[in-house]
Amino acid sequence: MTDLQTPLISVRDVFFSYAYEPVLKKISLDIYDKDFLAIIGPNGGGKTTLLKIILGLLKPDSGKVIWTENSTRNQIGYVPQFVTFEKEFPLSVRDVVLMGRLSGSLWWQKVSVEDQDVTTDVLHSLGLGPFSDKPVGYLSGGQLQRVMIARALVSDPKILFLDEPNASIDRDSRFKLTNMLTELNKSIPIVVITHDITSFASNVEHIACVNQTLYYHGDAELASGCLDEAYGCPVELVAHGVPHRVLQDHAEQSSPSPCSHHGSGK
Amino acid sequence: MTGLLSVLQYDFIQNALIGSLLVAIMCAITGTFIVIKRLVFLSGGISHGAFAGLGAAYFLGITPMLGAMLFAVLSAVAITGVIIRQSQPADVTIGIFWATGMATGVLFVYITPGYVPDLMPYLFGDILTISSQQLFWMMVFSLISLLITALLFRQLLAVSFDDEYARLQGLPVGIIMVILMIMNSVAIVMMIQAVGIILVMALLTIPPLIGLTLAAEIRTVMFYAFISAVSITIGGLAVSFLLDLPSGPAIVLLGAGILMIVKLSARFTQASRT
Repeated sequence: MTDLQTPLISVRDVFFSYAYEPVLKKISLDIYDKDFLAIIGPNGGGKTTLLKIILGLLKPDSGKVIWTENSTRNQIGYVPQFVTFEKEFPLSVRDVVLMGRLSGSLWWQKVSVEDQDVTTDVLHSLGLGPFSDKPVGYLSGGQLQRVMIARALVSDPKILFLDEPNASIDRDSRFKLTNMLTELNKSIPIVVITHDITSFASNVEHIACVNQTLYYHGDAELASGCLDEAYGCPVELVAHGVPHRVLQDHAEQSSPSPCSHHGSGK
Repeated sequence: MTGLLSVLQYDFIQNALIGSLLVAIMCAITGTFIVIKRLVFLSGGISHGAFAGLGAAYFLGITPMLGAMLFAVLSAVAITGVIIRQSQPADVTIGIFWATGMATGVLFVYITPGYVPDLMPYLFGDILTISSQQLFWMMVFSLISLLITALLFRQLLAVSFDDEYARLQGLPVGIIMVILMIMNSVAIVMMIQAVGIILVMALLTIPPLIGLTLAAEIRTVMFYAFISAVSITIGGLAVSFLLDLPSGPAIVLLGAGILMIVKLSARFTQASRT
């Protein structure tokens, strides 16, 4: 159905290695407008590397990433998994989120009233209002993650990438995040790297399972029944029996698997 | 005290005081960025790279500070380039530049015919020897640095906080880094005059660290860094005059002492609050 559209982003035959260690081999996938793509796979399987290649932060050894619309290319929202900075970094939460409003210009950029208003709105919608004047180094992992989400949202992104957004937030915030992404997904495509596919089960349109190579890439609809029902199921379906440490545990817990169409998405 | 005040009439004392103020400005703006972006060790590499320039200037018979400036900027750009390309670990690159710069400087001085200059002022600084001409250039450089920092403040901060995200926003991160490193080189060469190559690290780190201990907002941090840099350089100068000590070590040790007091009292007030 959506495959008939022109993809917004095409990844073609991407290879990447760190020093002599191959990380990604011959990855090709498409991201469509208003898509909700979940990239799953084992730790160290190259998910974040793939994301950084798509974003243009890393250069592939070979292969290419094609963005069909430059307007989208110039307005990317990105929520990294980690940001490492000094604990004493002299910036407030508000200042960090305001950074998301910067353009690429190498000239004096004034903080406008609109910048301030947008930032205030986003801070409040993410429940960060009470922390907005706190130094950013003093937040908990979950709060910091919300700050990173806020920074991505204030730029009014045309596409949103999130790397493990659920990793350090509690259940309540997870629920809020899912709702927020559902709302955003009505107008923009979203790409999420996650271990926790169930939180996004009702949103995910496409799944890509990456462990050096791309094991599966396709409609999540085919698997939607399974995604709703059982934890282990989509992994069984998607990973085609590839050893998958984190999710295999879940599969063991939730056996016998209620899912019966193994590999049907191939 | 009257002895201390009466020396103010001398030109070289006035130069030293104005020089201290200018050095303090550079401490506050570039030093703060250097500390929060964790480029202190890199700055050590640059200051020792500058020594190669001093040596070369002696050999060629040109103004030593000019040679130092040129080599500081060159080594800053070179080190940053190697680090950005990630072909080898940053600390290894810096270590190599550090030692090679020093060795090159010593060699140049050795092969310079005739009178062998005294290197001590360059290694440990002598703020009392700042000439009016040097002062003029220090003023020019401080003004340019202030202007650039004001114009690029948010961009510099964005790159310091999260360069990856800055790149994604389309900011020219490489150019911003080079601008920061050139400002850093200029600051280092100015500080060499005050405290010497070996002790430059102290002026780059102590005032910003005092600022970071006392405040949590970058402009306030820079303000405190400026105030402490002024107190340290001028206070150190006074101490060196009163106790007849070399000015560089007096400035650095006074700074270390003040930092210790600030850190301890911060810890004390924190403990009494909880």
